Amino acid sequence: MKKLHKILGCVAMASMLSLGCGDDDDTTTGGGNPTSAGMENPAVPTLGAAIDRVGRPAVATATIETFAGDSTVSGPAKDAYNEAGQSAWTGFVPQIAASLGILDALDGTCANQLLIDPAAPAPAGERYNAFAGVLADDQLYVDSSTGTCSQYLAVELNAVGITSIDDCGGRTLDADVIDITYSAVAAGATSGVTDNVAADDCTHLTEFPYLCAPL
Amino acid sequence: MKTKHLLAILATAAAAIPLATFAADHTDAPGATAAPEADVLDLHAWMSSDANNVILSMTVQPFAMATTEFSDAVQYVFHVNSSAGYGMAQTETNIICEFDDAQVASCWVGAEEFVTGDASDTAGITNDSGSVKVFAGLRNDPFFFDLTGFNNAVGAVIQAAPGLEMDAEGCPMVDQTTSDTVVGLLGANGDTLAGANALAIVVEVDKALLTGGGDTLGVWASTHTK
Repeated sequence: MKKLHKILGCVAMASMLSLGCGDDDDTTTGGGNPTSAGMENPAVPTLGAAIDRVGRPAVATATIETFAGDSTVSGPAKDAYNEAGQSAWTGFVPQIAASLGILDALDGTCANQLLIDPAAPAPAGERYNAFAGVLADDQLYVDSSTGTCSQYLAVELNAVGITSIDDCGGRTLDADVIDITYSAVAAGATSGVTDNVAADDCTHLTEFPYLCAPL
Repeated sequence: MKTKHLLAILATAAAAIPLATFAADHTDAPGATAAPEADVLDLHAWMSSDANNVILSMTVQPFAMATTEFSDAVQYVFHVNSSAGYGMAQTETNIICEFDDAQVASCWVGAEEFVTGDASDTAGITNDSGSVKVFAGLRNDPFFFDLTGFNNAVGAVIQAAPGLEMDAEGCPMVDQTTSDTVVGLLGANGDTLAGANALAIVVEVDKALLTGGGDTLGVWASTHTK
């Protein structure tokens, strides 16, 4: 658990540091490689108002006021989540933690969720904050040093010491991310709770563009 | 008896509650639902088997039709944050794609790489150096999920909430029978997205363009008003 807290501290620090990092959004350079027509590349566009965002599947769906029972609460909350810039993401930790508490009960047992260590309980009121912190940093993590990609969340699981595998993580087209997510939130495992849908309705391509032809 | 009450609710909740449809991120919020062409459904990210290329896929437009097009008023963006390791300082490189009203795609990778053309053929379009390849067009929605089951389970929990007893950390204390019932709801309906298409942007990029801050990549996708 100590190790985890250390990592989470680093994550928080990293998000602060990233504020000072270069941001391509603002780049308007006209320079660059000439195109085949011998023209300069057009300037990189400045990004407009944010509409939607996605990192890990189902995070916003399952944890942002999901159990509010009132669309006048959940709707604006989900819009706010989608429109938030990366520097504001840590602000969603309390909402995510509250939903994780409810999802933790799915298997009939509380306090058995990913990143809850029964041997080192979090301070009162903070049981779900560690995992919520990881989820609030809503990105797919890919280890680009390896071409083996068979475990969703491998980078995160390796970082907290749950696994030690050579795997790029990320999210492949075949990864059963819902079962892994259900199992992580309900039982602190990577399998066991299932939606009984183990694969897509087609066989994904081994070559570009990888996704199946439309139906 | 609390448990009995909850089970009675669970038994009827599935049929009784009108619920929004949402999945990985399908129509997950009012703003995105109002603009399906900008509603990001799913993000996938992985490495080529030789670990030379990063492959990114974003889908938009739930249940797209053959005539559905990318919006010429929306920016479709992959944000790639590279770092020396998980939890360390990140350097952002954006991949931004735009479309004109003839569906000609223009994509920028960082400040240096640019590719444009009709990207709807499965061969995609490639920049001069071959470091960037882009496909943009209709594909089978790659997500698989019993979203009806998820919605039914959420609805059951919401209905039951007033009668639930929480522990000190906000976790509902339910018995095994109740748990089994809710978990059963999650997986009773099969793949809701079987047979659905979506608009996809698939980008395969030489990883050297994206790993300026290190080998560990944090990736997220977003849409913006152009």
